Amino acid sequence: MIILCDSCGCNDNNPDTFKTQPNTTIELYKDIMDENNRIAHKNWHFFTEKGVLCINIMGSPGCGKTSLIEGIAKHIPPYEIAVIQGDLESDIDKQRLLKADIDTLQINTHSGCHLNAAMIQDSISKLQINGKKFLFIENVGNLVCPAGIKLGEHLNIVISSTPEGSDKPRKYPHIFYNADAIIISKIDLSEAVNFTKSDYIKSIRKINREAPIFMVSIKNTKSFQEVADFLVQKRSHIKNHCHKH
Amino acid sequence: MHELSVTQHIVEIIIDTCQNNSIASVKKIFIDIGLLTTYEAEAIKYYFNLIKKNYTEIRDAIVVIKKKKVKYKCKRCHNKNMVEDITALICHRCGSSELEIIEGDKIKITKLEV
Repeated sequence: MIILCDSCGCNDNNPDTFKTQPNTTIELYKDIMDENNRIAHKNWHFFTEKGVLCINIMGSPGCGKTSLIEGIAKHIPPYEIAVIQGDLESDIDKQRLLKADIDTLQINTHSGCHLNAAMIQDSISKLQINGKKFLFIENVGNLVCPAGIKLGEHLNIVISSTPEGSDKPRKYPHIFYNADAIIISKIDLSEAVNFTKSDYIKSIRKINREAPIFMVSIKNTKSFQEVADFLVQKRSHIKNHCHKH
Repeated sequence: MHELSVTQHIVEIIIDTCQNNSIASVKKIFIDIGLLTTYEAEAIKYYFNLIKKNYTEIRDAIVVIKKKKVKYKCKRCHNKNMVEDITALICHRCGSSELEIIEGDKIKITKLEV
């Protein structure tokens, strides 16, 4: 922190001087997200050391976040998966995941529009993470606020469903820019809702050329296989990271 | 409500700074909001004006917000430039999307006038 006196331009750090000098400028350059990012980094290290691939799943309410986890759990053993489930209220999605034998912890934010790193840090001690290979954080349903808020994840996955339209990447670029993988869900409804896959992919590639795009439908269990394979492959990289230590 | 929690956090940082540096009163708070963040300036000002009434240090303070454009450095051709359209985050010179964002992706308190 640099403190400059507007009267004489000095950077005398004497607190008594601040009190008496008028119009002193204090240069802070403080990133508001510093504390969140510090905790997120701690979370990331924890998951990496445990060999747990942490995936932050984001998307609108009803886009298919919980269905994605259920679908993946048909190709990765459920006992290898843990979920931190975020919603304003209720444990509806937690109950769904428990029925699929997936260990799930519910966070209710009440009025909070996204999860943050401190919530994840607090959840870690309450969730049985030993022996798990994958931790899914199902973020609060929202295409705006979760964008760029680090939780300690290795991967960000963004889902948009065909009924939401093919213009979502253009309307909500922030969240798609940060995605490590993009899922188009409810692909079986494309024709019924006039979803144009080529328009969608074109607008994604203007913001994000790297993220693979997967298309899934709960009507076709096999459609989740590629996503599961992608995650297994990504996890093998963090296993290598652990071995270096 | 997104801006409410970030504004509360801004206030916490300022009050901490005031208490650690014996500052009795803040006149202006300068904040930069990057266009790659999702924070709305007017909403932050609105919530700040509600919250500040609870703190003698910032009761009369005003918030001055600058929106920061997105600046990048291309990892492929090393070109540095501004992003004109955040729905098209590609290098103007070589078309790569491998960009290092060097400005415009954060929300920062830059300075206080006391």
